[in-house]
Amino acid sequence: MGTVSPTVDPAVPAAASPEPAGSPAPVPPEAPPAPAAPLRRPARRRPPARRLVRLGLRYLRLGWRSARRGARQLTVGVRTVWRRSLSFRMVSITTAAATVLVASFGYLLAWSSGRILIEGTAADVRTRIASGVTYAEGQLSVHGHPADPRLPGTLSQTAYFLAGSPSRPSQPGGPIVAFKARNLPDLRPTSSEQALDVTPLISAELERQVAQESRLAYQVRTGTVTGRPVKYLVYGAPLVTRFGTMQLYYIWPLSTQDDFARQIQFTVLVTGLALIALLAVLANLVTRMVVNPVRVAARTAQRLSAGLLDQRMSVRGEDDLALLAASFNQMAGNLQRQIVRLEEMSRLQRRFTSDVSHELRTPLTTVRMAADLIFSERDEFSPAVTRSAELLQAELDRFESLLSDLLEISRFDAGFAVLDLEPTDLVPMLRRVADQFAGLARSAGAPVRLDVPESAVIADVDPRRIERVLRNLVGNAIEHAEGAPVEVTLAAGDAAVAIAVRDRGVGLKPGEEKLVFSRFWRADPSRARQTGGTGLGLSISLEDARLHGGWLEAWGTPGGGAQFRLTLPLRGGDRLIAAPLPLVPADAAVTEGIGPAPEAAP
Amino acid sequence: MNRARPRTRAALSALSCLALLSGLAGCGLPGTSDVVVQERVGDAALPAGDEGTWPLAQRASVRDPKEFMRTMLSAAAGDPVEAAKRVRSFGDAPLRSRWEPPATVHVVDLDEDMAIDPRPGGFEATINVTFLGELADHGVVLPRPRRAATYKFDIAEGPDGLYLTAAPPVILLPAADLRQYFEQRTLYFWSADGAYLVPDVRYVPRRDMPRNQWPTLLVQWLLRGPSPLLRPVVRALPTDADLVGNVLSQDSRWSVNLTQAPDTDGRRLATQLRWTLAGPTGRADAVTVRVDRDRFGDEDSRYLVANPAYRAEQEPARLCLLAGRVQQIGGPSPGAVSVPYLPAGYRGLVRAAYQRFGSRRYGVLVRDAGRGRLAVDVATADANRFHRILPTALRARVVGQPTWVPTREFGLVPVDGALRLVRPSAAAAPVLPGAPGGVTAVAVAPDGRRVVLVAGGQLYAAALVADGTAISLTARTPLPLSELTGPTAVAWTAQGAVAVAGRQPRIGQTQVWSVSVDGAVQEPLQLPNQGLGTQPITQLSAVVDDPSDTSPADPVMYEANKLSYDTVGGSPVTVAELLDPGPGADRRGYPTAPFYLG
Repeated sequence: MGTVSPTVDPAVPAAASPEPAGSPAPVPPEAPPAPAAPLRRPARRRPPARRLVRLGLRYLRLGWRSARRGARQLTVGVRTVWRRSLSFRMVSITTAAATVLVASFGYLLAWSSGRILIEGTAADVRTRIASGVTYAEGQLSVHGHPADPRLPGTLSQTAYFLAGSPSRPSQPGGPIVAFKARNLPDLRPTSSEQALDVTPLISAELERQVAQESRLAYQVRTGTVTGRPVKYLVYGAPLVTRFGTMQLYYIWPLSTQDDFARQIQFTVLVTGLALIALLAVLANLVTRMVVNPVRVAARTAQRLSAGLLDQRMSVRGEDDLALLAASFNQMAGNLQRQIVRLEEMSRLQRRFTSDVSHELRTPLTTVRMAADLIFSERDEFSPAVTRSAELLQAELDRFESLLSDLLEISRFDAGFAVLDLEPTDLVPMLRRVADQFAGLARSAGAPVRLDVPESAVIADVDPRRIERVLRNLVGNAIEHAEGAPVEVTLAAGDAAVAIAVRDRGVGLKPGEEKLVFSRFWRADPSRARQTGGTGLGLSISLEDARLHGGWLEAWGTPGGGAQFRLTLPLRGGDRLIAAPLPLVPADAAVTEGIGPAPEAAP
Repeated sequence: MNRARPRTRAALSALSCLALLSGLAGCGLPGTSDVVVQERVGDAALPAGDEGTWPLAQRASVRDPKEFMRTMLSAAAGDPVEAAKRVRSFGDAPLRSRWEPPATVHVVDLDEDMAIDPRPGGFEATINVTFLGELADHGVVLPRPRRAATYKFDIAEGPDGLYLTAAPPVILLPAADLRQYFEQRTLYFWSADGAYLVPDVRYVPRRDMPRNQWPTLLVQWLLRGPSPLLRPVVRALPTDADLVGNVLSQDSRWSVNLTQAPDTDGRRLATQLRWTLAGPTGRADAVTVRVDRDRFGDEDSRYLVANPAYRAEQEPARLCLLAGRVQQIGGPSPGAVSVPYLPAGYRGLVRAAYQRFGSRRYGVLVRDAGRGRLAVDVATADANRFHRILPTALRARVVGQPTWVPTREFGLVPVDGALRLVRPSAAAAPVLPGAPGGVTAVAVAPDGRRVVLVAGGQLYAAALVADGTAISLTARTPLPLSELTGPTAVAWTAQGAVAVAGRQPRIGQTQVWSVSVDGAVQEPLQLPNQGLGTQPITQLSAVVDDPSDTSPADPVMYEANKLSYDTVGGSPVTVAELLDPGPGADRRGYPTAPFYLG
């Protein structure tokens, strides 16, 4: 718990105070106990009530947190369903709109029915109170002054008479009749129910309207004169007597009308809920009529995109859905034809490639054999012939590599390139490539410096292709290094690995970072080729990189050298998001206004 | 989160609408609302005030001790329940706490001479009273035997007026205050056979009850039932309902609200109420009795005949005897009752009494049977002549004034001190059961149920029960006379009062007084010191005032010293005033024994 308090009870084990694992909210520190009285012993046992309270609070917090978590999960779940299901969206929108409409109409109906009930009762009471006023005025006309000792008797007899027949007990639902004399304080209010005090039901405003303004007026009030709260319609009328004005009040219980109103409202509520439910069901049915064809279309499209090119939608009717289906079918047919044609073309291309390779190889082998023979006996020929024999050998070598590169490129073009992924450690591969070019590097005066991590960097790659790419990059770097060392860096991140090959040679002019990957493009055609490249190396490397789902990018500045970065995903099939190494080396000299162009992901 | 906002907004609005709906489902009507104001109702003002009330004078305003005594004694006039409280307000603090008289309010005759003797610090008042009756609840005055008493009161002079410091433990109400502060009204109850309404005299306090509240009080008293004097001869009320609210007059109709409907004919109750609420002027507005939503009234045509005093606008005929034959006094008038004539050979009449009963006429005839004895005959007549005269077996020396019982088929004659019953069809004349001995005069009210008689020098009121075959006199109550002694003749002058002739000891002459049937209100019919001679009055005859008739009442006729008088205190009737005395009437003497045919 960590509570530091001199009164921590050592008898309470830590296990007994459960703390939710990983609860982020800090436990509010307990208020320090009052400055300990000098008589207080330090290890005093805490009173059990406080412990219980703390336990209770803890469980409350736990409960609150789990409720919040549950609510969040529910919200997330609902949002997911909302995103994914068109019918759910439509049904819920319809239900919400219907609820709002039904609720507002229902409320209007209920309020209006209540008002009608009250007004009807008021009209009924008005006729009664009019005859009551006539009777009361007649009865009170025999009294000349308010102190007449028989006046209270007349008032209570009149009140009883008006409230109901005096021989019958006052019927439930009948009014309570009350007399009040606002201007005669000596005359106490009389009512037909002597046991109840009805003066709180007569509000000051109502009394003012009846007594001072001599108007008929009514008001609805709630009173608990009988013990239970009952709603009353209090109707007041002025009385004219010989000793002043009095007020007659009919306090009519609205229990029956209240029950009516409640029944009406309950019926409205039940009807409203049933209506909303029915609307939801109806919306669901209607939605399904629209959503199902769309779902069928989506599935068909999915299947089509997965490769089943003969998937078609059924066209029914002539509406938008039928139009969609017809267009879809048309598109699918075009695609199918196109793809079939392309496949045919690819097949032809492949056939052509393999045929060409075979056809070309055969004479090439023969020519090669002959050239080899001539080369082996070049010492016997005249110096011109010897030279020709050497040229022949070299060009034939070049021809062979060009042929194989072409074949490779044509395989890429035909889409026939096959990727054989296997987890490969890139570090030894890089070292191998560097070793392979050690001789060339020595002779070019451009040593290869490797910057690789200590541990293994395993990635899902096609080793043959990647090695080829690395060989191409390192070879190009050595060739264009102009005596400066070539730096090769390998870095791996969470999801990607990058290899950067940096040279400090001529570099690239601005705009050439893209062109450099074009086929047969050379920066400077006059440069001597030391490695006998074919001009297709970078294209093939780019295709190889793309095949892995990786990037191959170039950067360079005129005179500042160039850097080529190969980025590959560690796991096959992953999308590359970022590269562990920057494309622009840290020590690049940025010429004015021309920075490294932002590399767009291929 | 931007993408989520429209969605969460939609979700929130949907949820809130659902919540609104479900919240509505439980609440019903709104709990409160604003005051809804409607039109102005006419605010005409009515005149205020209590008309007809006589509030009690304040103690502090009276300074004269005699006036103080008079005011203090008049404080008992009013609601008898509060009488002691009112009188107590005239006392000082110690008297108020200890003076606890019994609740009976005694109606007394206060002597004029009140002795006020000065005492240190105040006065002592001595009064002489004669007990006449008690003012009970529901406005009934119960007559009590005449009794004289003397009381002393101590009055102290205080800083703000006089105070009563000592008083006897009795509540006294002077009869003069009863007359002044109470209004005499009659309730009506149906007779036991349901044929006629019998009046019941009550006293409504004028003191602090406004006039327009009296109808409510009268109906409340009516619903409590008849007074003890009438109970034997009237029906109980057909309903034990209570009055709801006040009795109001709207458009010349009374509106009476009852809690229950009467068990039997409600129209009879309406007629009862109609006569009860009729004013002293005689105007009887129709009554609508309401019970919940039902209403009923009586029929206009029948209510008049229910009151036995109703004479259908026919004037009574004044008759007298001259030389043994019946003569009519005064000229013929078009609206007079037709008088049947006796057969020509019938002579020797000494006294007679005629009575109209519907279309028939009855007569009790007392004639000279020779040898100083008198005989009694019963005669039956149609409108014109007595076609049947039946002699009874009665022969006596002393026969008092006969009377035929109105609404009945028998008459009463005091013969030798016994009250005898005579019938038109039987010669036997039995003594009336229940009658006392020594009866010298008898008079029956127009309803035929109430009787006033003089027996043994004492005036009595009684009820004549005659349902079925048994006829008897019950509920005999002595009526006290305040000033007269030795009553000799009685006659009914009003629904609630009789004329009594007797000797006024103060002037030593005969006087005729009007005495209410409960003895409470007694007034002389002549000037207080006017005497009607020294000879006693031997016959008294009067007609009860028709309540529907607004013309002045017919005067009381009497005979004294063998002379007839047709007005009290007037000159005797002479032969010249007779209608058709016949030739030689001057020589037959003076007319005697005047009587009315009502």
